[in-house]
Amino acid sequence: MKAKFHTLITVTGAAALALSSCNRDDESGEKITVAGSDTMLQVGLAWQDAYKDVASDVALSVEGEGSSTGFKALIDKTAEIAHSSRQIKESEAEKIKAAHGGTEAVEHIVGFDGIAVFMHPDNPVKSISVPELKEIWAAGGSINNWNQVGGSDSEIQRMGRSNSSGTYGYFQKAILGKDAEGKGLEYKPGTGAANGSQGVVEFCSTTPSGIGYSGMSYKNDKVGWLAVSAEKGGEAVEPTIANVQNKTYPIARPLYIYTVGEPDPDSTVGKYLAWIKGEGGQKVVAEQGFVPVK
Amino acid sequence: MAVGKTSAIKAVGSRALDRAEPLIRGIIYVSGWSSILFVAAIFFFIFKEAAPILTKVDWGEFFFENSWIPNPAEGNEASFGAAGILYGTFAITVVSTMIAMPLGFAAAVYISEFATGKVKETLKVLIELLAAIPSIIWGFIGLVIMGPIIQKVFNVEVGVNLLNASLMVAFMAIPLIVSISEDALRAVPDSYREAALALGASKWEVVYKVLFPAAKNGLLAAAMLGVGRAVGETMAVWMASGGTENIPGNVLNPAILLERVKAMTATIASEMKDTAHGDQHYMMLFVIGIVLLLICVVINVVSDLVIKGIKKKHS
Repeated sequence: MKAKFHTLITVTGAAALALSSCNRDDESGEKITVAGSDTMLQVGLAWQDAYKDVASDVALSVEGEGSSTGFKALIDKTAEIAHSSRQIKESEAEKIKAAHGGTEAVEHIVGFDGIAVFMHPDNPVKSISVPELKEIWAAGGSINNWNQVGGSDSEIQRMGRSNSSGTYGYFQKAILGKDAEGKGLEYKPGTGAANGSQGVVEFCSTTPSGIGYSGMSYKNDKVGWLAVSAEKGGEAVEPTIANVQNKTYPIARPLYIYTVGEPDPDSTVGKYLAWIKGEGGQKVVAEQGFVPVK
Repeated sequence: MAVGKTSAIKAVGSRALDRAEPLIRGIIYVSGWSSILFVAAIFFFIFKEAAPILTKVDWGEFFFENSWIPNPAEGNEASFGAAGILYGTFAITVVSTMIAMPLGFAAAVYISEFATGKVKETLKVLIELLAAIPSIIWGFIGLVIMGPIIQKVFNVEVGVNLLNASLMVAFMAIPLIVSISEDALRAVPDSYREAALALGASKWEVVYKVLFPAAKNGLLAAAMLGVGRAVGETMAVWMASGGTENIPGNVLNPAILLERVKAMTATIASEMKDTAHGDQHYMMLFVIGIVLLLICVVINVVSDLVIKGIKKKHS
């Protein structure tokens, strides 16, 4: 819901910006268009808001439909900056190179996102290990009932994200990993695909035997999350900013910004990017429930 | 007839209208053809997007295997077995129609034959209001209100499932079915009713033996529109169905009502925004779109033929 609402605001905001920029273009023409990840939409909008105090003459427009839309916008030259919650695919990098006469896409890491494993707040299981998560989520995994991990006797109901989302891909790589023969593992059949991160949280807060994964910033009072340990028997920690930053929480992914070529530090885009990586932008990252780089 | 009208207007001698006539006729002509143009354009664009992959699709896998893995783990082949997704749409359509049709017809009979005065007017307004509720609101109701109710009533873990999605779609289809079948019932001449009553038929017998057969066309059209609504509904289904492709072991077991399902529309809506434009996954979503479109066309054509068949029989 939240994400949808934000999209609505962005669209309205973008329309308003487009209208206002008509007058502004004559004076300065400083305008940055950002497209991409819906995970990063909230932080993108917060950057937009905070950057007004730093450079009021720069018109920022931020959209967040999905990581792929950002790369598409770079290819189509409709945006200067792409937000992404996953690394760029080879095919996308090639298309960007081709569209911009050989200039390659450049990757910037601007923060981290801890992926929380959500469950019902009344679930007696409070911690879990990465190997156990693999048995729960991966095809052929042996854990299907909460009583196998110290809970009550009920079948585990898995709810994930849509198979094209960055979070889906990251969780698959990080948790499901590979089988004994080195082949990547797929999700267990019967795993749901929720309507966005908010949908995962909604499902876990209403389903006593539910489990789901999503960015830690989506936590609310009605849902619980599991403390996670990297190894079985290891110390399990909750996905807090401190724990992600000192790397004791094992499931965290980088948040990326992609530009076409390294931007000139004196250009509008270069200045904006430097601000994001600096103190001001990183403070916003933390305020939005993500983890700053430093 | 058109000629008669034109000459009548000419007789009045309005020269302005005379000059405007070809223009107006042109506009109306274009409007008429535009709907055909739109349908053709929709078909063209959807086929165009999917065209490069159409010859390469493994149709056996697509229709009969339940393994929709468009973005596989590293080193694995993508697979596009949509059987689970097709089943989801089919199941939601069947169950919601089974709920909506009897309720819708019954409500239409009540409004058109039994209710009078203020009750009738109020009901009509309320049903129109029901039709105006956006589908995302129904999805929301399914998620936060119907879900917990289903959990409690059936003592199950998950409240978003086939039953929940079907109920939401049925509630959305009911106003459509009611208003169209009510129109159909009202269109039956009163002389039919009077004749039946004069012969000593009870009110129920009038409805069942006289009105239903006489209004068959309209009732069928209402039902078909309801089915079309169920096939194409996206948002409410996405939110209330649980988003999991499942194929039931035993179709006759009522417990399948409480299983999570995933519909074709919801699959397209949830996956399209994140796919890279023009890649295999993107095109396969358009293939689902083609299948969906063909299903709707078949439903429309079949209902058209059935209605025509009934007409012929009557005349």
